[in-house]
Amino acid sequence: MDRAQEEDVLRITEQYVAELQAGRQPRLGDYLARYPQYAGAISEFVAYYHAVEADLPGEALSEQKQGQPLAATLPQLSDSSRVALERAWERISPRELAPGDVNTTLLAVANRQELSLAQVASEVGLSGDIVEKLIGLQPTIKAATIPQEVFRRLAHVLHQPLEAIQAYFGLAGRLQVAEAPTVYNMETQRDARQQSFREAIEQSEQLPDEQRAAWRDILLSEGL
Amino acid sequence: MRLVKVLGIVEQAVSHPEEGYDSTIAVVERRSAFAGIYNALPAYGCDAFWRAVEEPGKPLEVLVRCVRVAVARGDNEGRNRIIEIIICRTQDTNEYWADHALKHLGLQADEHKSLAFDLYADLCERVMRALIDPQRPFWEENFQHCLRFERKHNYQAFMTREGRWQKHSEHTEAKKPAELVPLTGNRRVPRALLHSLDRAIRFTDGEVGELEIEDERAQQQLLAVERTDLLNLVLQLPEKLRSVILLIFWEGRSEKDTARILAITDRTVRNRLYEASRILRSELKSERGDVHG
Repeated sequence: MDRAQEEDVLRITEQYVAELQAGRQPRLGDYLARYPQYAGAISEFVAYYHAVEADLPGEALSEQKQGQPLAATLPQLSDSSRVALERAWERISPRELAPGDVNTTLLAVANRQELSLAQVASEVGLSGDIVEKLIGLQPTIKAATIPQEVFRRLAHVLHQPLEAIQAYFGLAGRLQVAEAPTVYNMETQRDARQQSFREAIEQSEQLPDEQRAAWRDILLSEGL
Repeated sequence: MRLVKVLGIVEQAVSHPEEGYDSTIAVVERRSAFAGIYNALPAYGCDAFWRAVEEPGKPLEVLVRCVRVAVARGDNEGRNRIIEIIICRTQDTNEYWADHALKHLGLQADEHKSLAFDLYADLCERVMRALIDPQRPFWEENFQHCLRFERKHNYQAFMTREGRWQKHSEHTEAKKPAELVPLTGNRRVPRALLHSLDRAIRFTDGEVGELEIEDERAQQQLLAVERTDLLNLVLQLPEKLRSVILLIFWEGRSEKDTARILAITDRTVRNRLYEASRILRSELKSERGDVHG
């Protein structure tokens, strides 16, 4: 099961648990009939949930001990947690802890969400050729010329933090470019084949005139 | 599953026509609420930011987002600090879970304590990997459910690794039942389940026949007394067998109904019951130490 499928199963089983917690009695058969492609995974979760999770005293045991108000400060890390954390840090490799491969991250994110570049373009309000220039394998638009509105829309569409999108373009806060390990920091190597966002907008043969005009306004409002 | 686009994001709409309720709305509202809380945080890394993320009531989903921002910024210290906050806030539940999940094994106190710690430590590691992985967006939407799912994965992996469960592949148990590895531990296979499965096997000649569980007392025993056992056993079965066993023995569906739900034939239902029976019988034999059956 890939990540996208696991996300599907998470949403489906979330609904099952929500029904249970709301006092309803969801029928497994109804869920399996509705989502036959995930029958095995749903059954597995339901069996596990009723075998182990359903008898737990409450979701928020750590957050709010029974009958007591929420603590004003965080609890101390338990001895077990401290040892477990140390053990985990030893096992998790530095490669896993590094930011993703920035050359492919946004493309990969789109792929995992089963979004084509054309779909991303449609949602962002751009044309496919411009999105290709923005997040394709060989981005060619100078990051400093891209309006913040593009980053906001990409963050929405790809369900990523705005900062992650900005970091991808080497523009984390626009004041912290140095700490952002991105392809866009290598602009000097690529200046010869880069263009501004405005140029991309003006030159695109795919972008409808209405959208072109809207982006001109956005560029103007952002002083670009 | 109906797929719709909301704010440009592919969403699954799980509808409840009987209530006129569409959970897509709830998902959008939830995302919007968390995004609002996140966007209201002070600038990343300043003192006010850290005070805010250390507030006990701050949604864990928002903290996951903060972890990922820390990773994207290459701020290892900040990443570790936020992860530690999340572990602190979930440790009581997770330690309780680890203790509770092993209770059915009937272990000696020392062994139980040691295994419960290992189970908890493995869970912490899994959770940490998930927190730093930006390709797992659902952690930013429903932390508790993701945690529940992670505990499931962890529990299954742990039980298999520790030799408490066999790992059945759908091919091996069908072709090489004699090679099944004996289990350890004090797990019980419900006799009533095997009895009922035996009844099902009688129909494997392909003749039309509704599987009826006539021994109601046995079934009641299965559903009530041995309920946890049944569920734990189901977790050990190959994926294709789980749904059939659950629908028939846990939800009390008929064979025909089960076939309809899973969009398979009655014969396939019976074949799967047969396979499940072989596996469970093998485990029962290993519990008895009766290698000859």
